[in-house]
Amino acid sequence: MSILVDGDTRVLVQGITGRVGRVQTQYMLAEGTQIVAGVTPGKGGTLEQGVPVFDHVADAMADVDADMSLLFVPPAVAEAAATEAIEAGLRLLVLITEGIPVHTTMRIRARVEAAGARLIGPATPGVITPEGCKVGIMPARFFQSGPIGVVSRSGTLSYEVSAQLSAAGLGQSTVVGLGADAVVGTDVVDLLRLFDADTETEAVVLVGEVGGNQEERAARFAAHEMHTPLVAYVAGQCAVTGVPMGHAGALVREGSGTVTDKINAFETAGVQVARSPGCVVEAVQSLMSSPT
Amino acid sequence: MRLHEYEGKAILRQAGIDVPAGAVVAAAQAVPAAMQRLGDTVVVKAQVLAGGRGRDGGIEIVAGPERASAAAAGMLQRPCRGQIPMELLIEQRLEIATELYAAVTIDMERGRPLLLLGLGGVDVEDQARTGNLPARLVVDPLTGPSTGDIAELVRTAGAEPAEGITNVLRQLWNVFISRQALTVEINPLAVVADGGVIAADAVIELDDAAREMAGLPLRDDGGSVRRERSGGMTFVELGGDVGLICSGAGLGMASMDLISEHARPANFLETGGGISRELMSRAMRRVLACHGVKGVLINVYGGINPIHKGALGVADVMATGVGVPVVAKALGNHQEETWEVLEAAGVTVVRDVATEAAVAVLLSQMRERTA
Repeated sequence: MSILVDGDTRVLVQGITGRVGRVQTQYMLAEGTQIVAGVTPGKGGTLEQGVPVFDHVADAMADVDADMSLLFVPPAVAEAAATEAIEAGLRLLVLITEGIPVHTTMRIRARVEAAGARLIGPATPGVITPEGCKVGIMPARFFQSGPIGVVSRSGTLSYEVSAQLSAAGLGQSTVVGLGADAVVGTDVVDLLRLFDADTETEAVVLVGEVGGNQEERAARFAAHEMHTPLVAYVAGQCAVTGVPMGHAGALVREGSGTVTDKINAFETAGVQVARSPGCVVEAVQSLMSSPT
Repeated sequence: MRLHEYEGKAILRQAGIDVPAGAVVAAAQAVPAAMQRLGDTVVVKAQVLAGGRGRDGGIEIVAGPERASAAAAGMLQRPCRGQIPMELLIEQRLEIATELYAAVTIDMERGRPLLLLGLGGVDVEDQARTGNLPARLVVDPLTGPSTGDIAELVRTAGAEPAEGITNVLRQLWNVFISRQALTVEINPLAVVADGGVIAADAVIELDDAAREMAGLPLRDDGGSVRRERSGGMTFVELGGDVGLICSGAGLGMASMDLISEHARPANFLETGGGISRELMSRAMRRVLACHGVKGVLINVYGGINPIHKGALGVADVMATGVGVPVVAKALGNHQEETWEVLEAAGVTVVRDVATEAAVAVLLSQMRERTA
């Protein structure tokens, strides 16, 4: 099992003929992801690496039956592209695009919620169920199938942590990038809830960072509702107050959002905290060997 | 990007919200002239991008041009909340009857705008501590708040005069939307004796991503830390001796944390998803230009980034002779090609996936150089 995507997921790629979309489609096809259609306005009727391309999502959906849309579109057209996908009936959107203004993201999320759909991202590496379905930009070589769920605010750290889990023989059920912006489509607690309900996920790793209060809310959920054991790592001990550290969401404000706050929240909740990315494997191993 | 109080007040005034009469000065000598139209008692306010100015000598009420000039001269030389103000706002003093707090901000968890109205004059942290939390209205970003919603919020908060405050909240919402703001906050929103409602302070924070999309410049957010965001990279100078180039913010922060266990980072630099030959050579030159840098760690993943092309940019700079050890961990798509280019250029390539290993190799090479 897995969450969000699996080997049966039929994927539509918006922006499939763009610079990033084209290269990433090649990598995804190589991993066996079922890409059933692409959309690029003006390129309808062509083929991209064997995938039929349509001008609009609605045209694609009249021809093929996709389960989700993966978006590699420029920030300026992200809202229009996402709206098209929602209106065409797609219920899972994975929005890779970086640099979308927060007001735009709020409107996209409101439309997604009104339609009862789900949005992962923006500014996410995407979602991978190893050896089943890769929808995103993560290099597949770091991942292997197994019982560990991974939720990460950072793309690169999800690679770093998953690669070390894989090397230790701890494969992943699904790895999800939450997205690095201050407002993202899906709350961390929703993803923990999905992993908790997944019978094959035996432990979850949460990779957090400074800023916001997602880790604090995850800690509360872990303490009161979650049955699956959780390991947390939080990056940004050295972050400077008031300076966004690359990610728009990674901003320590005066008096809140520090790594220390977040580690305290996890420790109070009884969640095992890894002090560095390299300590995650050991923390997971200790949880999985201890009787629950 | 946070705006200064005077910049925020100019935006509020344009939107139809009353603000006190005032003048911006950059030198104490300009104060007496400014006071001619403001009256004999004025408020002198340091323009720094931080809260809590009043508790740090950044707000003074003074009578007479001599005292006002002296207060201004002192304030322009003294750091307030860690920043020395470049400008002061000299304002007419208000006869305040009631102080309120009014804001539009973003509820990050729900991903929706939030209208807030409560008691003013104290910090938001103090509100939380004393239980005097403002009344809240979560707003649908697709429709905005209805007039009825705003009137209900004003009733819940028990704020008077209801009509004047309702108008301010509507205008505040308009500013939030038209400027694509992250926060528009008035604290205090002053109710004066004749029932007028005046913004005695203004905190406006704009969205960097919205400005970048509109092609507008970003300004350093003040303070002692220099932050640059240009040409696809975020750079912060930190004053230590270990230079850092990472292909993501999370990896950058984690690397910085690991370096800090044994040494001091010279900088934070992350490229996001835009690595190219040109960008990596620019990143290398920027890091090597940091004062006192004695080694460089390159930590990149080839996911969305073509690290094999980035390696050519690193090699371009290595060829000019860098004089300090450079260690790279570069994994993902095209990793073998990347290693080959980097090793030929004289970079030590660490193949271990753990950043801990790469940090250890670099620090040992740096120690050998100094030994």
